[in-house]
Amino acid sequence: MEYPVWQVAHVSTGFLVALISVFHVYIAHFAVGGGLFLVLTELRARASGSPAMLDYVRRHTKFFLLTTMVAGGITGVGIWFVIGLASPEGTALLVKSFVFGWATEWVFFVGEIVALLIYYYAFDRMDARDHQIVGWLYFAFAFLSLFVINGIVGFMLTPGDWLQTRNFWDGFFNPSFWPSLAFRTFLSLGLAGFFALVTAPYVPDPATRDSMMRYAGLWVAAPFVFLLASGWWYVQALPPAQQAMVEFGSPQTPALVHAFIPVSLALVAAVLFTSFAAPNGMRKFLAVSIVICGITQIGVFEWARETARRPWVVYNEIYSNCITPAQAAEADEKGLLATARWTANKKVTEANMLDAGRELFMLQCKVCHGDAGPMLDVRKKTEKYGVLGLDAQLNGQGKLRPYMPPFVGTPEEREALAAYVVADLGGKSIFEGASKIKPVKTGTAKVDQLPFEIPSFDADKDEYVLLAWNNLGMHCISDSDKWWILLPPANDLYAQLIRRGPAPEVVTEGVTLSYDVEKGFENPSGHVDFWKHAKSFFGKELPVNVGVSGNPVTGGKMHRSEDLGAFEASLVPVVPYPDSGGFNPYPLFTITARDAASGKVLATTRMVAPTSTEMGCKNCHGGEWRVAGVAGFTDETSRDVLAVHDRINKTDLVARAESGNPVLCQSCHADPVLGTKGQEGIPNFPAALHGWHANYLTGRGTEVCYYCHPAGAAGPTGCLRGVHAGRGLDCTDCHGYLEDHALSLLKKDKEAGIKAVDKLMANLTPRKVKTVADVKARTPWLMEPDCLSCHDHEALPKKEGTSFNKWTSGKPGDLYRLRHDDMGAVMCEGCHGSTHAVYPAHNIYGADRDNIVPLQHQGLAAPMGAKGNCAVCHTQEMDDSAHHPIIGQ
Amino acid sequence: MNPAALIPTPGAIQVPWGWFEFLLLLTFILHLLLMNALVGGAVICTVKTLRGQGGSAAVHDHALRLPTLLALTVNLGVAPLLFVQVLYGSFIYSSSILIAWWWLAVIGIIIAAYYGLYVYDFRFQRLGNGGRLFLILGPTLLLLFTAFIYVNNMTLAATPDRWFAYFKAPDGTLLNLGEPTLAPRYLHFMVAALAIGGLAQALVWERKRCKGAADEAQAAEHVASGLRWFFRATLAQLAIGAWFLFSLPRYLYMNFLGKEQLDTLLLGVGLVLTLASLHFARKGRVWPTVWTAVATVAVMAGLRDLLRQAYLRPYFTPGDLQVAAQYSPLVLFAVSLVIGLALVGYMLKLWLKANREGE
Repeated sequence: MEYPVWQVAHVSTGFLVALISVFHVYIAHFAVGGGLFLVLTELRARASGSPAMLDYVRRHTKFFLLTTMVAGGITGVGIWFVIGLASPEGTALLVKSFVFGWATEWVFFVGEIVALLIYYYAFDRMDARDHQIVGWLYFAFAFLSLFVINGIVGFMLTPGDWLQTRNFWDGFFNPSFWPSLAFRTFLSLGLAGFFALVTAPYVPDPATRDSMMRYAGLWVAAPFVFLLASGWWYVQALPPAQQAMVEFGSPQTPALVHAFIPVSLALVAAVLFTSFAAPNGMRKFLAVSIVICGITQIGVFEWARETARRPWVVYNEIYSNCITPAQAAEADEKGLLATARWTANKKVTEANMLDAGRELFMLQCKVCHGDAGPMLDVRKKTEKYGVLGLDAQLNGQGKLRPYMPPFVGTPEEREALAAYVVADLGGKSIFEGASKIKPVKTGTAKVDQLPFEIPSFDADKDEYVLLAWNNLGMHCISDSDKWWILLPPANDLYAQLIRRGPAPEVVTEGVTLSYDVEKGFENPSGHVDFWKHAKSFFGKELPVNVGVSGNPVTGGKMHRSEDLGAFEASLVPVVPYPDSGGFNPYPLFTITARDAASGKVLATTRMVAPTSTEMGCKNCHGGEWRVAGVAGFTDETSRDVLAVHDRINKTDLVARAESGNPVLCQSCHADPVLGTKGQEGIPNFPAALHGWHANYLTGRGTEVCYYCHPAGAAGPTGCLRGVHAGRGLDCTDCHGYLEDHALSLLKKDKEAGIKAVDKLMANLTPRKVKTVADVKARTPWLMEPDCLSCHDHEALPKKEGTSFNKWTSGKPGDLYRLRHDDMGAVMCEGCHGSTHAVYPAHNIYGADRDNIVPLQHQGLAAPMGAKGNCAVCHTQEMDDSAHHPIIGQ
Repeated sequence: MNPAALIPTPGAIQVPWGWFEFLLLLTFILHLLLMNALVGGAVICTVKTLRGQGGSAAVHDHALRLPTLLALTVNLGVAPLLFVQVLYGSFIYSSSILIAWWWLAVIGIIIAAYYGLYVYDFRFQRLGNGGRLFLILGPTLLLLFTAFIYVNNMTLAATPDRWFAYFKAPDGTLLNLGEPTLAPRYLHFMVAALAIGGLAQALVWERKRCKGAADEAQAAEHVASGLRWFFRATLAQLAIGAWFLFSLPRYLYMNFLGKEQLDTLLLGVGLVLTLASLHFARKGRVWPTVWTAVATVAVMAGLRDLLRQAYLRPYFTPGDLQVAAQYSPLVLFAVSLVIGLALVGYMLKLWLKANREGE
């Protein structure tokens, strides 16, 4: 960020570095090994008194001169030029820190050049012993130059103590110095053999020719096992982070490391064939082919070494994009555009957003990512993202997957960068409606108003009040069944039948309750594939349209729960897709209570069973909505979720799904909502999901909840619709911001000894409380915000209240959805309605759709008995409430 | 906008800046002498080939040496480039990036020129005049172009106020063509190469003549020819040098005309040496010409450095660089240099011995 950025068209500047570097090192290593080859072969030629062999050495020397001095030497300067262009800060650091190392290497270059020129030009004139001395000196100088460059290049990967001491010798003799030197030495010897094969076929005398071919082959084969051994030593000598990066940390490196041995073996085999077995006519062609292909061996090695160093150019000192951690901290606060020198835009505005994004791309992405070419094409990497998704990716970059440096800059700059990549490079549209670059809609969605009938209730004559509700007001299913499932179609319907009178009674005996779904929803299996894969998910075949616990979607019986004093029908498999098409997340159920003996209908009511597939995974995982352009999972989205999981966790979920065995996420990740125990050492499902994604969505408000949960009124569900929403509260008021929410879940797993959550927690900072230590751990689904934290039944709740950190005890009976009044009789939800839809709720599909039960019984959308309506159940006015103290009517 | 805002903050250096300044100047002067012999020699060969003398002994002698000269020029270029990056890295990395493609092209250009010169050398006898012309003209043009790119880079590095051109063309395609001193500076440096190239020829043939390694008359002719190249080019340099000087902004050229003591003294010394070398060349006295010319080159390198410092003074002086002292690496270099040079000397001794025995 101090220097101008070379804004090369299309390719990354790093690609140019790679091209020149790999070419150079191939020849340069040959120059080292070949030097030894020349003098040893000369010795052999003179000792065996073979003029033909000596002649070969002379001709090979000419080849050597023309290859190493010109192509080899000048491209070495080429690397120096190109790294200064691509990575000036990194180059400046290397030059300033190791100037006398470089200067010493230059002395060795002088020696090399003089020695080689003399060795070549005086070949016939010089006395044999003198000539050999010159040959040995050449090799000595060449090896010493390798010695020096090895130190400096190794320093970049493993700086060792230099980071603290800044001492030249600490940096030079760094942790990977010796194994790297060994590796490169054996590589050099092998390369001497490759190149010797090029000239050997031209020896006129057949016997000498064959002998030289075999000799060259031995030069390749003999060091090979030492090459592998020193390669293994090299990997072992790496500090843990670098070793991890080589072995699995970066998407590319494992493949590269694993490719090295097969590539090398193939080359050795080709060489041995050419040397020992190939017919003479083929040898020249084979030798040239080997030399051309041979570059892949060192290319694979150098590429693996470079990627092991990710995300740094000097490990722990400067990131690959030449920004230091200290500079990044300053830029995060003040803006990268402001703190970098060579920027035309100093700040992001509406007008300059894309151009500012372009400059941000150049500053911190360009060195590795081009928008074309074979290396890390950013368009390919970001194909699935829109602005929202890419912004989230950038937010989380480098935190959990450390092969990339973190994004540097303010949130506005991050969004600008995302917009530039998505629009200017990706060619996608980013403007939606009137607002620019706001893929998340605001305001209230315009949806068709769905009519509903309120069953009748005669306050004078009717004997019973039937309360019915869905335990959860916000409820989702994932219709990604072909690929995975995290929530099957499964609504929990509850009902309490109350016999009216001065002493009302909750009735559980002698009655049967049944439920029927509204027309059009009777055939969920016609809309989702869940039943095709139920066996794979839950280990048992399910009859179509029957839920996991055996309840049918319609026409089923509710079961009596003695503990709750209520009736329930669990896991009713309704889906938000009516047969008439489209999306309706609020199907209605009619609950009917009948006398068990006579079958006479005692009471009827109607309730909403909310169920939505508006899960915004597509925002980051690609794809579009599957149904009516508003909800549902496409194959593209579903598959990408698994593909990412496979890549990160080395699972095989895509393969399993493609072979017809999709998994239930909670089969590995414990989850109280489905009662699964998961596998050992793996975080529970809510902790994993929120813990992972929170890293990608920091510093946001409630809108971030809506990316995944169907809570927002601007979406087609609008699940957050109860009295709290009506009073202006949002998710964060009760659940905390996403970081808080995630930390509370992760902490529970951490206390249980699950190590995997450590890295998820490392980059999360709580916002509702001061430190992570202040966050109270909670078990998902069983420890929830406690109503009593704001509603103490003494006074009206304060405006600034928050329920974060004030969880219920963990006993199911303390949860709002399973709790009873002070008498232990009526369930809280019976009078107050479902979570997130507490009466009075406002439903975007018809304002009072959720308020049917109170409207039916008391003509008022409010908690049952509110505003002095105790007579609904008590058939008379009451002074006092034994349910719980009632304040502020 | 203030150009100072664009100048990157430099890091610390390991020993006081004077060390690097000394090493920079020393190795740069050696590089210049070799580069001048190379480029000048290549131009002379080209001209002679164009005149139909492409097969002459003088040209052949040049041809034999040019590849080696190129190798040594590059090698001796590496050292000053290293030291200049330590002292002026903020400027030179920046300017290099602005002209990135041109700068990087130098690598390909030098490789092409180098291979061309090797073919020219190895196949000299077998080539016809047309072939020789192609193989000497090509590398010569490439080398001249390389120098042109360097002059663009070095002048741009010294003038941060011209860096704003980056914002119009950040893709590395800029040159510094708008710089008023570019043409006279380039010409001055290339004509110097011509002079030294001719002088190198004179020196080579003078030594051959003294050792009796060549026909007396022929050698004398080549010596005279070389000195003629030197004389004419150096005479022209008086005018071109003046042009160069006065193409500088006034506040800068006045440094050399009285405002700054050292600068003025050095220019005066340089002029005296130049006149002396012209005198000796006229008189046909090779060695005194060589010594005064070499001294002139050294003085000119010093003047060039003073000019650079003057350009940058509003923004930076090397004394501004922080020193985080570590002397042991310098000791490493010094020891390696002594041992290295000793071994090089030894190898040259073996080479000379082989040559003597061959005769």
